[in-house]
Amino acid sequence: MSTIVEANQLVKQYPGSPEPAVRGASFTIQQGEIFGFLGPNGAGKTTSISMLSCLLKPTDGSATVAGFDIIRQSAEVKRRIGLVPQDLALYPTLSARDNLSYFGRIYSLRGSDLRQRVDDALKLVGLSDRAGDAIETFSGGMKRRVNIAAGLLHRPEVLFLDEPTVGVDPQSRNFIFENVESLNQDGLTVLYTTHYMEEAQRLCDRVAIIDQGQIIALDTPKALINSLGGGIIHLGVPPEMPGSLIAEVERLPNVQGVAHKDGKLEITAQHAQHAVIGVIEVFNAADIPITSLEILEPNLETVFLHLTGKRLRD
Amino acid sequence: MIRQILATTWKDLKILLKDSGGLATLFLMPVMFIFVMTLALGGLFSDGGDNPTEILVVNDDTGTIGTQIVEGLRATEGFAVETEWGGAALTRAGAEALIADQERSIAVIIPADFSDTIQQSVFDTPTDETPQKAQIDLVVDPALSSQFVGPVKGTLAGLSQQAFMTGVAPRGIDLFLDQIDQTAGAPLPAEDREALREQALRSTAGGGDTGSVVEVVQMHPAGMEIEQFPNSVQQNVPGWTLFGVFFISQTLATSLLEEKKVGTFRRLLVAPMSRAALLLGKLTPFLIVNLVQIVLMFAVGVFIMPLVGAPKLELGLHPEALIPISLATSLAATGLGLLIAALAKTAEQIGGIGSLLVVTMAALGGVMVPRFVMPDFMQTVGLITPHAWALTAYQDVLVRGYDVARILPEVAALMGFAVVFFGVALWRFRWD
Repeated sequence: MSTIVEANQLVKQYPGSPEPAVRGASFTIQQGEIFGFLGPNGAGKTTSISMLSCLLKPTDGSATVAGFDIIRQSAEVKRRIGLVPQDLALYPTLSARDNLSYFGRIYSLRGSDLRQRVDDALKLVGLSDRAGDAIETFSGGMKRRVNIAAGLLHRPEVLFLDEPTVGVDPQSRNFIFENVESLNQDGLTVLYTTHYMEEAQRLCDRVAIIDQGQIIALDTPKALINSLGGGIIHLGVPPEMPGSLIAEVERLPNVQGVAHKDGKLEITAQHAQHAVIGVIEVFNAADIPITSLEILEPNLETVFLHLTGKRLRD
Repeated sequence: MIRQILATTWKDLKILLKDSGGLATLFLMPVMFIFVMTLALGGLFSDGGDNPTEILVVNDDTGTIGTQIVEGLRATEGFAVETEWGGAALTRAGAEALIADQERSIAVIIPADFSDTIQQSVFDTPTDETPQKAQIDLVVDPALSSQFVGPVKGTLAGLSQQAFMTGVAPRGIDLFLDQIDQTAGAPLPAEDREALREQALRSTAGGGDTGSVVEVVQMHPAGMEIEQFPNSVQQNVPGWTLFGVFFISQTLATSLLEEKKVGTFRRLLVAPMSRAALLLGKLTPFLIVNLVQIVLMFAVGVFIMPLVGAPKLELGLHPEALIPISLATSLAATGLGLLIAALAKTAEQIGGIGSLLVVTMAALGGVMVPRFVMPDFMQTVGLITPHAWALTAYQDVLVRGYDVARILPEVAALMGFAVVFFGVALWRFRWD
C-alpha cells in the first residue's frame, strides 16, 4: 500500500488562543485504509482535518494528500478529497436530490453523469425513495446519511468523515458503519474522527489517539488494547501509601504495572478478574481500607483513560 | 467558475422561492408602504386643498381686455387676486421679488400693449401675414407643482377667449356689416342690421380661437433655479421601492450567516471553488430579486395606483435611464448585505445592525420624509446614504425627464457606495 496522506509536525495555533489546537501532529495514512482520530471534544481532531482539507493553513509543519502539498497545491488536494463535516451541511428547505445536485455541480458534474451519481449516492445511503423530500422533513440519521452522500458525489480518493454519527439513532449509526465499510472495500481511503471508542474499534485499521492537540498513541486498535494487557483495576486508596505495599502488589501474579496518584491506584493486569482477588488480599492483610474498586475491560476507552487519566466523554 | 456561480445562484433562488414568508415580506412590504403612504400623504404633495390660490396680478394694459381678464380671475372660485401689496399697486418687479422671496408663488402680468396688440393682430394684419400675439406672462415659483400651475393657466386661456369675444368680436362684426353695406351700395335696414349683429355675436360667444392672438407664457423670476418636485406617487413608489431593495440586505446577511452556521459554507470552501465564485453565486440571486422588486414596484405605480385614486406613475421622457439607477442601487444593496454579514456574528446582531442601518438610511435618504421638506443641514446629512442618491436619480428621470447622461453623477455615487460596502465587507469578512 502506498501513502496517501502524510502529515509532518502539523501545528495550528488560532489567533488569540494561548495554546495551540494541534501540536506537532505527524502520521501517515495508507491508501485503502480506514484511519481513525479518537479523542474527546476539543482534542484537535476537526482542526487536523481542516488543515488536511485546505480549510485552515497550518501555523507550522507540512502535509501532503495524494502527493499534493496542502498549502501550495490546495486546488489539486481539493479535487481529491471529500469532506463530511460534523455539521449537517445541507440546505434544509431543498430536497435531498436538489442538495446533492448542487454539490455535484460545484464539482463540475453535469447532465446524465450528475444524475447518475446523485442516484448512486442516494441508493448507497438508502434514501432513493425520499429523494424528492425536503431535508427538513428527515430524521437526524437520514440527514447524516445525505451529509455523507454529498461528500461522495465526485468520487474522492480520500474521504474525511468528521464525527459522522453524532446525534443519530442506533439503526442509522449501523447503516453509516456499513456504508463506510462498503466504500472502503471499494478502495476508498477514509479518515474517520470520533469520540466513540466503539466506532474506532469497529471501523478503523489504525487509530491515532489524540488529546489536547497531541497524538499520544497510534497503532491498530488491537495493538493499543493489547498494550493494556488484560485490563485495568482502579482502587480508591489513602493519599499516603507505604512503598512496600505497592511493591507487594506489583509482585502479584497477573499484575503488569502499578501507578499511585492522588488517592488512586491504577493496576494494569493480564487478567484483571484474577488479579483483583490478590490485590484485595494484600490490602486486607495490611489493614488499609479500599474506598472504591473498578475493573475496566480492555478497550480503547481504557487505553485513553490509561494514557490521559481522563475518559473520552469527560 | 461560471457554472459554479450559476449553480449557486440557482440554488439560492430555489431557497428564496421556497421561503414564501420571506418573499412576502420582500415584495408585499414595499407595496403596502406605497399604498398607505401615497394615499395618506397625497395632500402633502397636492395644491393645498380648499385654500384659495393667491395670485398676484399686475395689469399694465391700457385697453379694456386686460381689465376683463383681471375681473374674470377675481370672479373665479378658488383664486384670490391681489393687485396691491403693502398699500401700493403691484409692479412686475415687485411681483417677481415677492415670488423670489417665496411670499407668493404665482403672478399674472398683463403688459401695457395687450389690448392694442390683440386689436392690431385682428384688424390691422394683412391676411398673408402672421398676426402678432398678445402675451400674458405667468411668473411662477419653480418649486410650484404643475398641478398648481395648470388650473391658473387654463383659467387665463379661458378668460382671454371670453375677453376676446366681448372686446373684439363686436367691432369685428360691425366692420363686417359695414363691408356688406358698401358692397350692396346701400345700408341695411336698421332692424335687419341689429338682428344680424345679435345673431353673429351669439354664434361667436361659445367658440372662437384666441390661441392665435393670445399666448400665456410661463416663466420664472430671474435668478430662481428651475426645480420640479415630485407628486405623492413619484415620491412614494421609488422611495418605498428603495426601502424594499435595501431591506433585502438583511435577508442576504442572514443567508450568508446560515450557510456558515449549518456548515455548507465549510463544505463549499473544501470544494475546488474559488471564494470569488462562491460569493458571486451567493450575491447574484439577491441582485436578481432586487431588480424584480424594482420592476414590480414600479408596475404597481403605473398600473395599480391609478385604480385606487392616486396619480399614475409616469416614467418620464427617458425610462431607459431607470436601468442604470436600478442596477447601481441593487449593487449597493447587496454590498450592504455583505457588509452586515461581515459585521454581525449572530442572527440577532443581523437583526439589530440591519434594522438600524436600513431604517436610519431610509429616513435620512428621504424615503420616509421627502428630503426637500428637510432643513438644509439634514438634506446634506442625507447624502451619506445611497437612498438619497438613488431617490434623486429616480425622480430626475420620473419628474424632470432626465436622460441617462444627466443621472450619471448619481449612478456614480451609488457605484461608489457599492465599492465601499463591498470593500469593507471583504476586508472584515470571516470565511471560517
